[in-house]
Amino acid sequence: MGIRPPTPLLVILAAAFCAQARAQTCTGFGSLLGSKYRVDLSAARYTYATAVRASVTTGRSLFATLGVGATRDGELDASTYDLSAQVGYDVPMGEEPITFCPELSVSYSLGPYDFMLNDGHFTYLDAGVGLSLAGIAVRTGRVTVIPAVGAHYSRLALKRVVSAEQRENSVQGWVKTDWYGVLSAGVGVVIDDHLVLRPGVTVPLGFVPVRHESYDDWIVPFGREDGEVSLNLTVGIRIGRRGRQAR
Amino acid sequence: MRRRSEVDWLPLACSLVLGPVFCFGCGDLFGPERFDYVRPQLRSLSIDDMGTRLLDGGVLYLYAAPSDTAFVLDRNQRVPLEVAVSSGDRETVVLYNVHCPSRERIPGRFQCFRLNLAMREGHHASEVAGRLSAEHGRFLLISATGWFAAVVFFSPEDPIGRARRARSWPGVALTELTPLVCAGTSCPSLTVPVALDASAATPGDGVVQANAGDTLSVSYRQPTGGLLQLRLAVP
Repeated sequence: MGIRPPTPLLVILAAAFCAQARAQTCTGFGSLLGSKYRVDLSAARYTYATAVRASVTTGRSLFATLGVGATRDGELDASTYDLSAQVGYDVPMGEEPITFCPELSVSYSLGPYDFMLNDGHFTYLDAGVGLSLAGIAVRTGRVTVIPAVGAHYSRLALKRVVSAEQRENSVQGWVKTDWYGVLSAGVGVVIDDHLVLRPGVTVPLGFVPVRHESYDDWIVPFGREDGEVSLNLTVGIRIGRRGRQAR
Repeated sequence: MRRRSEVDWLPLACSLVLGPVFCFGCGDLFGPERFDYVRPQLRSLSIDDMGTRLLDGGVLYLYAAPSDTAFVLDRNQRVPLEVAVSSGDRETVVLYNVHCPSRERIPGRFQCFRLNLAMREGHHASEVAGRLSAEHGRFLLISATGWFAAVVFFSPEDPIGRARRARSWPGVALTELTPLVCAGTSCPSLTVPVALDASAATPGDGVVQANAGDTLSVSYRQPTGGLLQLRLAVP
């Protein structure tokens, strides 16, 4: 099975960069009404691995995020390098300040290489849909607090790419696919409309149990464990001030 | 209109925040963590002295079977054991899982302390003795012609990384993580290999010094307070 980027998603992503709508609050990062971009740096601690990520978000109601990252499992001496994109649409629910957003996401990960001393490498392609919901809990003169929750459902394709030497030894590459879900929650703290701190947790669910000595059922996002509650922390800085607009 | 004084602190605040953000995730990125001692209830201790003296001394394998057959140490946990020799040596050694990685949901698990080496044609395993010693390892077995060696390391840290490093040792053709030999609930699941030398006692140096006629005892203090002990007469 070949892995191709989902073209409709790329079209939506491109459109999002041109969007002129109103706000982006549903993921807990607060509105981008006054800024053109938000740059985020994040770190997540999983049971056995650590991930760091940098991303840029732009748009207003229709928003898009492009990110790069790395996930490292020290015990396995293995890393993946990730490129991700996400689009969402912020929908106010009745009276402000509660909003929700449907989201589409896609990510491509390269690695790990030479995994467990087996030559070759892996690639991951992950495409998913989700919903996030957030509301402004506290708003003072300088600080806004935005709790947020989300649920995402993804299709993961894991491809094993064998080396030329492995091919000579009749080792076959393969592609496996599976569905899994991720529940998330976090609290965004927006300071002076410039700085965003967002601690959060994620819980992936629905991985197939793995038999110890076989790759047959091994189809999980790199570094994640089924049902683990992992902590993450994101720091966002808004840049590129927009002209003041009436809401 | 925002006053200047309200935004000047942002660069400082960002610096203060970004540092912790990355330290939050730096454990796996920049090095191993410290480990914690734990004391599970053990049902038995055993010794495997198959590590006969080769080029570089001997290896004594200590094994323990927890009462809870599902017990597995986390990556940063160790179980302390006391080793005493009648001629005066005393060492504290720490047990770790026989099998790595410490998780079960992974294909291709292997023995944490072991590695197999295959040498290139015309090379003998003895050529890597210095490199092996520098990585705190010893030979467990060398084939008659020297093309193959089973080696043991005295720490379970970074087994895959050091297997990769061993590939660059002179004369080494390939390295192989040693597959599991016993994975049932009746197998001991904790182990530690200990360097064994026939020389004068040096307590606390991490090497057990024992000579013919000595008695070697291994002791473990159970969480309930009882003492689990095993004795071996050195032939």
